[in-house]
Amino acid sequence: MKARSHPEPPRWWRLLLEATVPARYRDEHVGDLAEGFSSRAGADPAAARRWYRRQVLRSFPGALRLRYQTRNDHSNERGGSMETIGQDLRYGLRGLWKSPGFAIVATMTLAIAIGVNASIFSLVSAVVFADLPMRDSETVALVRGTNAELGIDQGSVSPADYMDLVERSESFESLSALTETEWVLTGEDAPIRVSGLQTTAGLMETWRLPPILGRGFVEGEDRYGAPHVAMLTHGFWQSRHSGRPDVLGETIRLDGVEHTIVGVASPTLEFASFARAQVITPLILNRSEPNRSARYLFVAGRLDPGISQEMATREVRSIGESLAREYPVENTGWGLWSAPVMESLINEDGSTILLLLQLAVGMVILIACANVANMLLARATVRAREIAVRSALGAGRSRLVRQLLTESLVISLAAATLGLGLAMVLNEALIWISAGTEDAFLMAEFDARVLGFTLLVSLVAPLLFGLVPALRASAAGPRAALRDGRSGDGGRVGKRARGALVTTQVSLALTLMILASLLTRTVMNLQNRPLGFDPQGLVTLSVRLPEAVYDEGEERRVFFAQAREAIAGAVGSQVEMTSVIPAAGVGSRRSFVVEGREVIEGRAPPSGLVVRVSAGYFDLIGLPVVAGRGFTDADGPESFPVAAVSRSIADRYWPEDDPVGRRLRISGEEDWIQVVGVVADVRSVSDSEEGAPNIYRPHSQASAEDMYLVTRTPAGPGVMAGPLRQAIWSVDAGQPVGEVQTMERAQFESEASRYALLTLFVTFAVFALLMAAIGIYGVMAYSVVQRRAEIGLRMALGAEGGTVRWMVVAQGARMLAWGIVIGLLAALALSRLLGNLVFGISAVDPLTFVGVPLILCCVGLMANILPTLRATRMDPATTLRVE
Amino acid sequence: MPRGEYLGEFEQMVLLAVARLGERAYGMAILEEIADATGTEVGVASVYAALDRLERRRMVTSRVGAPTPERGGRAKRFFSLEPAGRTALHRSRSALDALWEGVEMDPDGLA
Repeated sequence: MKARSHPEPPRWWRLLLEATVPARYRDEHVGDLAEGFSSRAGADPAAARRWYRRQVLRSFPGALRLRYQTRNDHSNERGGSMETIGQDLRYGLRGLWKSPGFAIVATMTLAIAIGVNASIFSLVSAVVFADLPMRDSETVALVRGTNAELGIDQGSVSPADYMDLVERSESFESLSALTETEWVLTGEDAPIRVSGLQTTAGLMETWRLPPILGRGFVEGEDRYGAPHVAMLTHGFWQSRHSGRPDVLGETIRLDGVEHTIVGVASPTLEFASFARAQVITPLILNRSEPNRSARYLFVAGRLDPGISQEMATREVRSIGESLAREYPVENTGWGLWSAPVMESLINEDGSTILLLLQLAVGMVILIACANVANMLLARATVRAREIAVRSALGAGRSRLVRQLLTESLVISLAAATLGLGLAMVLNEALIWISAGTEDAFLMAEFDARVLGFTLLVSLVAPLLFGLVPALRASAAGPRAALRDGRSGDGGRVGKRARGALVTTQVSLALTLMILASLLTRTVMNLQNRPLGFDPQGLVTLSVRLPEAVYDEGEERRVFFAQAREAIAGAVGSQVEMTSVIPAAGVGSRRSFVVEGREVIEGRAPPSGLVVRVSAGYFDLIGLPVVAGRGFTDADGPESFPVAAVSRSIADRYWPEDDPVGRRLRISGEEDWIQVVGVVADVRSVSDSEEGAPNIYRPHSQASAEDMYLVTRTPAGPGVMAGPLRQAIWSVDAGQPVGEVQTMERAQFESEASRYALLTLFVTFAVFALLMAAIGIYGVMAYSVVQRRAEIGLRMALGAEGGTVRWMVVAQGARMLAWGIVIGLLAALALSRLLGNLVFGISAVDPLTFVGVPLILCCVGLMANILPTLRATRMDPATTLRVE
Repeated sequence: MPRGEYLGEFEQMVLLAVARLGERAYGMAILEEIADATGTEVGVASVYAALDRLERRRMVTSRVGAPTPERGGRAKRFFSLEPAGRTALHRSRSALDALWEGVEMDPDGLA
């Protein structure tokens, strides 16, 4: 015998050997090589190492052979057959059944995390994997209008610009345009409003989307005077015509005009907002009155073979530039831009939000996994004895690990089932909170992809939260565990692992809380912008006159005058009207010319939102006239055209002097309009500006088909709806009556998707905070239990309670502090993404970055101190006697 | 005679090493016995693979011995020859001897 200390074989090679040799021959095999190594090491350690390595490498074929030979052995230590899986399952279920508290908490924790993940993934999947309405979409480009000064990069295109583009561009095989519209459908039943699309004749060819029945529109049908034809969307055909194939040739009455049905569009068309379309008619483009400032076309082109997207973009951009030079009044500042359809359909803010959401839910699931891992680690310690006994009775390590993992998998699968149910409820809630305004929420569905994702998460999660505890639990040999049964706490490594988990949790929770708090403050800032008028008791009723029936301004004026009178008679209060609901609706943005002001080369012309109102409207909603006058009944069709501008328009375009008495001309129109008054701002629906840049016109001079009748009444919309409808029908029985709603409800709906997002983030953040608190509490409580002997001894030896408490608290505080530092860094990194989304605060808002960690600190310390207090209140004698 | 009663060459080498070692037949010792007698170094895993097969055919039995410090605290597995193993070895040898009868051959393969 040589020296007492034996030379060790190379560690990594030994581990490699242990991994390859099947368990049945592992001990003797490793032992043989260790013996061979030590007998050679005395003479020449380097040669011994070489020999060892050679032997390990040589073991591979033999080891494989051994594994093959032992594959069917039904001993306790291996298997893989259904029988042992069934055994593992039974064992796992029994273990969970015996500790229902653990089972329920772990399952619920994971279920919530998996639920929110499935829900958000269904949104992401709906948006990212949405079937585009175009075939061969890689050769389709969308053409968009851009205006850098107004921050528009996904704008629409005016018909005149579109026609010029068709004429000039050479990159496209074909171009097509569409716009969304609405009609009144009359016929057998009560008049209803249908929404639809107007498309150029070649759209179905450009999109390569052949109709499933009949034909698309042909050249010539998109001109004035052509016979009226229409297509039905697949959904509308199914629901209203029950999918009858003989619908072709029948007519439908849109806005009082008979249209012959010539085809049914493919269901693929029903994409995002197009999904609401019911009827499609040809888009009639009129060359004779090109109003370039009315931009409302959605343009897509099919690239010529051999033309790349980049080449098309260059050409479209240069056409846009030359159009801006040729038509400076309307097009200055505006450009054209094309991009692959995939890129341009997802807008940038939208995808940032989606990315943040996905990150947030990713954090939620990591936090949940960390928590369950923590519970498992603590549980493994409690079960150390049981595991040791099983191992002593011959259970191999791999078998033990598999058993513990099976238990984790049972938890995870149960959680996934619960989570899916939760996700469905959550999606319903999101649609409800967002009032059905977000396309993504409506498009989201639980298809095979979402189910697959959930299954994947529930299979991967146990590896995340179960593998380390399982490996640790099975690592201690039976001798050590049995000998040292009670205080088998897993040692320093275990403590460190749990500490790292808590630190991770704290940092993830902090990141999420900071994001949520930035978002909350943004929404609050947006909410706190002054409304500008008094919404209390205001009820609106939407009326859209069919153009074909009321195409003369005079006819509309008569209708609205009669309708207002009838409603005033029915409800007994003043009735006014507006074309845009303040702080909720969007008017059409028009550019205009200020008299006496040069058009500056290269800068966008002045622009504002044109709102048509009746004479008493400002008075009714309580919008103060700050200079000049409001409208009166004297501003009639025959008198001089007048306008009132909002204060933000006045400040922007007449910064030096009083706009009252000055004149402006809306581009595309001929008359100069005199500004007679300045009214206070109403809140803008856009997040980037305080007040809406409104130009008000009297309805008597600039009538519109779509108006909202507004009245102030103490009765709610439910009570008012009936009398309001009757009043409208007494004037025109063929007129559908839109929704009757309060002004407050209209505002809520215009902001609803923001609330939905906020709700999501805040829910996640609160959940994360809770999880982190539970995590800290769990670890501290456990550690106190572990150390109660030590604590008892210290107390018995006369240590102050305070000192001992501090010693324990410091341990938790360290984990907390690390978590906060890491979380702050992560949040700082993420806040770059938020730059465009926050309003009224900086993305690195100091209050948030100090306040949120403070809250987390308080909660964390509470979770830390509670178990500590319990420990120091214990009677030292009791704790020592337990040992 | 049923198939499988004959032994492969490597199996014969391992079995003979076990027979020569008697009470002291465990992995490393078998390895060295083969190396000493034939001058070839074989892999431990191959030895165990062969012994595992032979044990399944009831030609050897094994028992776990005591761990020793120079083995890193790992136990030895001792193998011992069973009657079936002895029979098989003899049968293989006599089969080969019978076939060698009358064969004159230069060991260098030069005919």
